[in-house]
Amino acid sequence: MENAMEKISALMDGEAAAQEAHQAMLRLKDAGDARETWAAYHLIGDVMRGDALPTFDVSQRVAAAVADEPTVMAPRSSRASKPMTYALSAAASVSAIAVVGWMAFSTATFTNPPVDVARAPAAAVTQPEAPLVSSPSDGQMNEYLLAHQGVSPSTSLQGVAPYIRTISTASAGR
Amino acid sequence: MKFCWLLVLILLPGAAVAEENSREALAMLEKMAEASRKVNYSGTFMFQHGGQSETSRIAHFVNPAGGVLERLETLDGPAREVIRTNDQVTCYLPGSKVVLVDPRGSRQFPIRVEQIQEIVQHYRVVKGDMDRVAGHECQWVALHPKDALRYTRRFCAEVGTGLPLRARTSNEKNEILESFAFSTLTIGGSFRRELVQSKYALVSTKQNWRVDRSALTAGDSGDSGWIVSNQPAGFRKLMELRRSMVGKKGTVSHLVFSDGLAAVSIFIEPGAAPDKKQILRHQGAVHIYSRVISGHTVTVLGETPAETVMRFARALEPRTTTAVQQR
Repeated sequence: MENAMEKISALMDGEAAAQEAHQAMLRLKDAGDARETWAAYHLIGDVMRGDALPTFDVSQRVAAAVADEPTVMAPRSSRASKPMTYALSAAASVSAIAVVGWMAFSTATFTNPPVDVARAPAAAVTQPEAPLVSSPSDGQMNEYLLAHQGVSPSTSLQGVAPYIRTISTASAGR
Repeated sequence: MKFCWLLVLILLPGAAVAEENSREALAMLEKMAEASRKVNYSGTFMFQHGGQSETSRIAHFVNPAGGVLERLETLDGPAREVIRTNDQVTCYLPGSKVVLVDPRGSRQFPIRVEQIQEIVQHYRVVKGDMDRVAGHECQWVALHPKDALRYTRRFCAEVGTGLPLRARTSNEKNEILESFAFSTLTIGGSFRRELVQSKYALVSTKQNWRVDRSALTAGDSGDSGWIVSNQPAGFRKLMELRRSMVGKKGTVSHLVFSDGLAAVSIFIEPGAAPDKKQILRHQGAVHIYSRVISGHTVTVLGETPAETVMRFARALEPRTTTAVQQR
């Protein structure tokens, strides 16, 4: 089963050799609702990607299904067609991120007390530095938080979406 | 002498039980790490950090090909929706009519067995009591750090699947920094498209919501040009790349270190604001430390105590400098 999953996964990534792809396809065919799910994943993924179809190796069948799907046609707006050149003012982007999350930032209701770095183990101090006291985040560094949480294993261990913190926000934060 | 033997006889079974408990706790940890890749679930959960709390609805489906499809929606406060398809993350913000797209937003590093071994080196793993969360039986597992560089983590994992139903992160004073708990939960069941269909995908295109994309640059470079020498104990480099980021011009170097549980990210970008000295901030269990090193702005953050992120910042240096020093 593990092996079968790997092959299907390889197929999804467009990395399967023809023979293996054929076998994986047969398995998908046998899998009944797995095939439904597979198709739905790609479809919805494509909807989300909007214009990103050319960079995504979809099968002919799924591509055809996408073409038939009315909700898929809509996102292909010219706006979204330049993923890499899309430039926004820093301020606007940051404010958008602030809406998404990690925000609790600008509120002063933390139960977490300021951390007194001077308390840190003496052995840790390799060079003398003035003691620095931590203050609640003011939202200035949200983009870093956003980039970080997608790569942290502890968020995946928590089981619920690595984006748990992203979506979490405080209404008072805005 | 006799007394000593008696003591050994009394202590031995105790030690054996403790070892057995620890082994079971580890097995549960492994199961937990696998759960989000193997189990379908849907429900509502509450996430608390600092004095804030928020309820969200989640639907999470996996397919036999290893794909993940997930929808997250806030139930109180401003409406927000996150759709995750495999590693692409899309956030809809109906309030400001903005769509944030991160094509590779979720570069997850699923915890593997060898990482569990790493975890054991830096955390004491203890099996706790049975509990019940959202109508499901669960087993508490606690991870107590062996040094001051990490926080205590507690998870209550569903007995059958290992899905964490409740989780807490606390500091050395036993203050809870972050917690998460399901209030309603359905585990298993087959894929239901309506549970993961975006509420806003259609309207966002019809109304031309602003689409903001932050993509990792193509061909993740293995060399950021920076090196961390003598990093805090137990942390291992997971990745090193140059990426673009929302709201930043040019690319930013991004290094990620982890002890198997907590992660620390280091971001390095050229240039430094003249007035910018050191900055230390926190949010929930996350500490953020920023300072200038060799004309670059360095930002280190992780779900660790402040000391840990600051040590990373101190241990970071441009690669060229190291080369010069070695000569």
